[in-house]
Amino acid sequence: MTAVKLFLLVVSLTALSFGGGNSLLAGLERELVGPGVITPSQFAAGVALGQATPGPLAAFTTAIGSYAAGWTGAVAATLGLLVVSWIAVQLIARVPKAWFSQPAVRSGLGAVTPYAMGLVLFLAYRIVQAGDHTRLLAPAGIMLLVIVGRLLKAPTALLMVAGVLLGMLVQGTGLAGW
Amino acid sequence: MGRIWRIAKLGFWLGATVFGGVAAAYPRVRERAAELGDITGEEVDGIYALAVLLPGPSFLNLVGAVSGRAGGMIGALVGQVALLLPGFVLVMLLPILLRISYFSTHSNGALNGAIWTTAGLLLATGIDQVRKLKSNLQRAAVFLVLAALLLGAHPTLLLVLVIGGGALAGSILTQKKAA
Repeated sequence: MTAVKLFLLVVSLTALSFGGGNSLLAGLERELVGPGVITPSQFAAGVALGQATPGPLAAFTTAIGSYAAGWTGAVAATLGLLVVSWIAVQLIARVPKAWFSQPAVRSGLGAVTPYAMGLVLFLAYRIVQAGDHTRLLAPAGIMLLVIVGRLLKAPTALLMVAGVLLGMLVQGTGLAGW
Repeated sequence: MGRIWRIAKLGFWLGATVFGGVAAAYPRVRERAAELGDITGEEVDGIYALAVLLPGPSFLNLVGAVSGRAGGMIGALVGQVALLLPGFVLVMLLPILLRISYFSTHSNGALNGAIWTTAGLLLATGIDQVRKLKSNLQRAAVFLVLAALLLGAHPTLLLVLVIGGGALAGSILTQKKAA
């Protein structure tokens, strides 16, 4: 697939994806794995890379783009995301400030904070649920260390490096079966 | 120029340190939006709701909208490019790193470690934010949202219901007070 075709594909899928980048996944799988542009294992690896890197979860689009059309594909897919989102946010950027202070709007938006917190906890549950259930102690230990580290204000990047190294150590020493 | 530089720095920082998508990013953006200028927490709440409802990745929409309110169309573009940059570089570098023999044999472990760390970071963010909520009613609302999601509610539809319910309750209370 050419980079231009990939760009147009990502633009069209992103423009129709509501509720976050994850809704892009089904479209990308249908359009790229179905016709054999990339393999199912490349698709899975792209999704995993998107989860394992910081920033928007939609970084999987970059990884999948690189599998579909090399580094130009990665650039084209990322630009596709950017173009749609940039156009969409021009609407939000023009909402008058006074609108946010309207009593009904303010009380409606006040409910957004607990919603976002509930969503964070749900997302953590989903990530744990998607993991390997044959081992429990090592993942739980790493998660507990990260939670304590985070609550003690340790930098996120440091915690991520420590988590990755511990994951490798667990695998390398045979603790992975725990 | 100073404002655009601050937008780029904030976008890059969010792109390099926030794991777990928009839900994990929202409290961080709310904390730091004031650095970009006259943006209130209330405004960020509204931007967050709209960012989730618009097409495109919600995290990218959120940062673009906050940057756009602070720095116009150029600000939005700078904020979004800065946000995407760390992930782009890492996504391009990680497969190369995984081909090096040591990392190759331990790549599964590294990936699992990253996933468990992401889950831990999200849990810690959730616990920290619930602790900071001002009322027990809000804390109860968090667990109601969590229960609804666990029971299979669609996140976007649930957000619409939450905002609509909050607005309705607020209007009724305001009318009662006025009466």
